[in-house]
Amino acid sequence: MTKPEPSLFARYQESRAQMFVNSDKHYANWLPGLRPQRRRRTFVIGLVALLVATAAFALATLTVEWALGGWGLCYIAFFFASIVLGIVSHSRAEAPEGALDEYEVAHRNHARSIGLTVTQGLGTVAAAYVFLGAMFLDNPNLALSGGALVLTALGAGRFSPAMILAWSAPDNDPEDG
Amino acid sequence: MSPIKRGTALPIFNRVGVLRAERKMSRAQLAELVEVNPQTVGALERGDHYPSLDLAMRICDVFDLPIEAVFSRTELGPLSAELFRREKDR
Repeated sequence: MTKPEPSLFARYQESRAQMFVNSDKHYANWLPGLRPQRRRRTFVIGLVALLVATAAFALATLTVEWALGGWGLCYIAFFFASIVLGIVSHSRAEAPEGALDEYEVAHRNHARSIGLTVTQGLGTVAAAYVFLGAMFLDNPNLALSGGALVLTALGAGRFSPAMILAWSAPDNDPEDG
Repeated sequence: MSPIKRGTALPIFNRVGVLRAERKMSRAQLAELVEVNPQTVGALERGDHYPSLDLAMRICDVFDLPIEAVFSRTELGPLSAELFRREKDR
């Protein structure tokens, strides 16, 4: 019996897994100072603070013109900081299944499940803000402010699995050597 | 602990740590043989993770033992005591 050709999707997933493994090897020794759990947790707290500031700037855009610039700066900083967090926590949150073992997949799935809940919750709050704002406020900046808030909510949702995994992953056991 | 399904979570005890130590094998070596991360072996040994049947079978292949000698629903005693008891029962 001949083995069936892997589907296009299977081949794509395989190449993604290979790319992930190569990239993980490449970044394996980057930023060693940020890799211990205590440092990762401090970094996550910093990211959450940055997110709160981003959301505050998004809301302030409604009344303060320059707040949109502050939002943009915070958002870009958050985006790059999230990439750094991914590097120091082995990017498990974005890893394709083929690059992880079953224990890592289980953890990643738990984190992604929470990430989805965060996205839905914050997305609903942002959408409600735009909806109710359009009903009760007569402000020309509402679309800008609402859009910025939606982007912030999506960013928080997208990177929350990485933050959860970075927070919860234990330090390497010396015996794991 | 994973994978968790609906219903009561029943424990799965294992002798992976003891068997590994007996064969003077590091976690990294066992992990390489069964193609998982060393941290996953650590999680198995601590009982933080219940393995899939596939992983359990791969581990048993490494130790050349049947599943019931490595994994159990009840707490496992020393393998030597169990063997000795079996010999006596015969």
